[in-house]
Amino acid sequence: MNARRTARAVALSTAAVTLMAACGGAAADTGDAPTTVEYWLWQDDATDSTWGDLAADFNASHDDVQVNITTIPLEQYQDRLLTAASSGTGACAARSKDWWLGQFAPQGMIADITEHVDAWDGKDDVIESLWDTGRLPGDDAVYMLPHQYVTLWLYYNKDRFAQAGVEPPTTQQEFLDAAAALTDPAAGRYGFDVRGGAGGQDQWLAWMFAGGADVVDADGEVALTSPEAVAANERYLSVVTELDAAPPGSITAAFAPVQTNFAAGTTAMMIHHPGSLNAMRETLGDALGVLPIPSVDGTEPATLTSMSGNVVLESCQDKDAAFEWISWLATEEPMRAISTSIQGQLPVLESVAGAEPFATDPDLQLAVEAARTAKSWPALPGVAQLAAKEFQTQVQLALQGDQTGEEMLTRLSQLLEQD
Amino acid sequence: MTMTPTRAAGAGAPGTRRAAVAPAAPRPRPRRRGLEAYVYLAPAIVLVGSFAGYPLVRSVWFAFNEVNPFSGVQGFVGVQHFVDIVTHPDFAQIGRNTLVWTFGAVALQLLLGLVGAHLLNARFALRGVYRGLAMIPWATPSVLVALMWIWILDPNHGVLNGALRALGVTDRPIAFLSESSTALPTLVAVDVWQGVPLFAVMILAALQGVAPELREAAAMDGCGPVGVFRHVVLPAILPTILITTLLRLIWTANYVDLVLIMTGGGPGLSSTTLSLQSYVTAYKAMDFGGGAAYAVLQAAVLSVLVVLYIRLTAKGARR
Repeated sequence: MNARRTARAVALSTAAVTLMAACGGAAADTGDAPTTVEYWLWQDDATDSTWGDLAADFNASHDDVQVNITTIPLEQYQDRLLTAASSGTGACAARSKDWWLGQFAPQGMIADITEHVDAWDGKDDVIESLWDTGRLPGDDAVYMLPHQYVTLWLYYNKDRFAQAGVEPPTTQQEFLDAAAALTDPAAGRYGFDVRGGAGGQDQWLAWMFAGGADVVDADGEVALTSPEAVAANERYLSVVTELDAAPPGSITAAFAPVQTNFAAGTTAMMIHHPGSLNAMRETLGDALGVLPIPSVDGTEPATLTSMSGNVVLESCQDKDAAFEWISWLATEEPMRAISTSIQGQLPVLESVAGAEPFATDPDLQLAVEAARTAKSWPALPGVAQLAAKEFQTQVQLALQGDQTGEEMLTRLSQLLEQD
Repeated sequence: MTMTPTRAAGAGAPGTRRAAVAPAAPRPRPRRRGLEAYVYLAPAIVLVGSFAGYPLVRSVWFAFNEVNPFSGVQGFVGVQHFVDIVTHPDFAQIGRNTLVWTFGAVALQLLLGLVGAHLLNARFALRGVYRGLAMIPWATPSVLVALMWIWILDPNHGVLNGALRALGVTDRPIAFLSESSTALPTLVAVDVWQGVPLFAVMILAALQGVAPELREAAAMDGCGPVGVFRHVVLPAILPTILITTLLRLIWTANYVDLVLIMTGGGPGLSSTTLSLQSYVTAYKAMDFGGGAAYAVLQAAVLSVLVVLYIRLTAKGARR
């Protein structure tokens, strides 16, 4: 009987400890032991060791807070973060895209960090226009500390343009003319990939912004069916529906085939961000050119900026410790390290953006300057669903001619207007 | 039949020899045995209840409620989610896609698996090696299968289009995954490629259980190869075929990896299935109630197959 009692006690203790460990999530340790912040992130290039190096530097320089990082593939990231947050387990701080905020913040998943930000002495070094990427429309509260961002531009293949006798476009009409002139299906050559698959909403919105459209108007109302938006969208769709200037498969293509097509010379133009700059320079060498996204009349450039920042989860037991880690990431040296890594994103700090290589590389300067007038996805609840599935469905239907461009915009507007 | 008198005796049935010796004695032993059985079953019951029963009941409950993943159930909505689903203009297409995907893939797997099993049952050199190699598609992780076929089918740089153009079959690349008319059939074809080995191996195992003497006897009685197959082989392998088919129908209906990775349900909705729509509704729209309703709807349909499966396996166990 004693043996049974002992076994029962051991089993109960084990179960209790297991449950406590499972429910602990982001731990707030007691006593003098340092608090460990569980931090989740995705990496655009998972082979890069910079994030691990940053965590090691932080842990070596901090006695009271330690960080433990977990890298999750971007494809699974949102689902796993959502599942962990809803069960109160997992991360204490996490990397987040700006357009997830509209879904996460109203649900109470992430914490309002306004007080922490106001008390943070690094606040003034952040490029002023980028703070809005961490707020909800019409709300001054900060939910995300900006960290790394990209602005979208137009890559073009100078050799292909020279062979076709075409000048680099500055207006959207010139872009369409160039796309048609650069297309020769018999030779397997095309103008531009419309990327109707995963992630295609970003290059589409960059085109829409440059075409004079906006997602929401000054009053915060969804404005995707405005005359400017309808016209810009028609121009975008016409690459497939009228000009047949996109390669086969483009209407469902995700980033990998788009990049492969551009690198192989199958397409002559590609909308993407500086994250591809090093790879494309290595592949195309001097033939690579970058331009602002063509606008309606060549003036008033506009594009999309997409922010990857850091959030503190509401379930985190020690939000001060979590903020200590994410604010340390937004100080000068860690910012320079991550911004010059192969992750290929831009720094949010004036001090880093104003120094090498960002102040001297003309292409990177173009991207940094674009950020001052670029716009982002508004943090509306429907944006995450739009980006995950609905944009693909609607743009594919429009590109196939199964619905008009106006119907496509109406369906997207209806989604964004939902609470 | 031989147990009946004993059971009757144990129950104190009148007129038996044991009943005459101890007519009113209590018989605790069978009861203890019953309790013992429950003790032995308890771990399995707890595990199944925790990891299958509870999520199942919770999902069904979600389907009748508005659910916020962070603050839980917001309010009972009755059958509203189901009404929304079946009255949605996209429902007919999604339902049709699910039927084509499920029955199309499994029917072809069965047909080709039957052929494959007979080929693998024939005598030839290195037969064991071929039997092992045949399982590779089934053993390959779904994500890898999806990525591999995306590369093969790529219209601009894929090997299949390269071969078709080199052979003069087509002069312009075929975007198999980007055309509404070809996306779903292509997914079915890839699933068939992956699923045929299971059918082949299952049927092969059943074929090996058919006694050669029976085949010979049928042949001597005048049956040709078709007659031997129809009257001897088919009845012997039919239970295996039925059970494997039912299982594959259930698995394929719930299988979301290939569709999600290869087409994302597109172009448009041309390859969106109920299981994909359930996932998207729950995790992308954060509508757990609606997502659960899609899942419950599909589970209700599949439960017919589950009942059939249980009846078949129970029949097999009785035999």
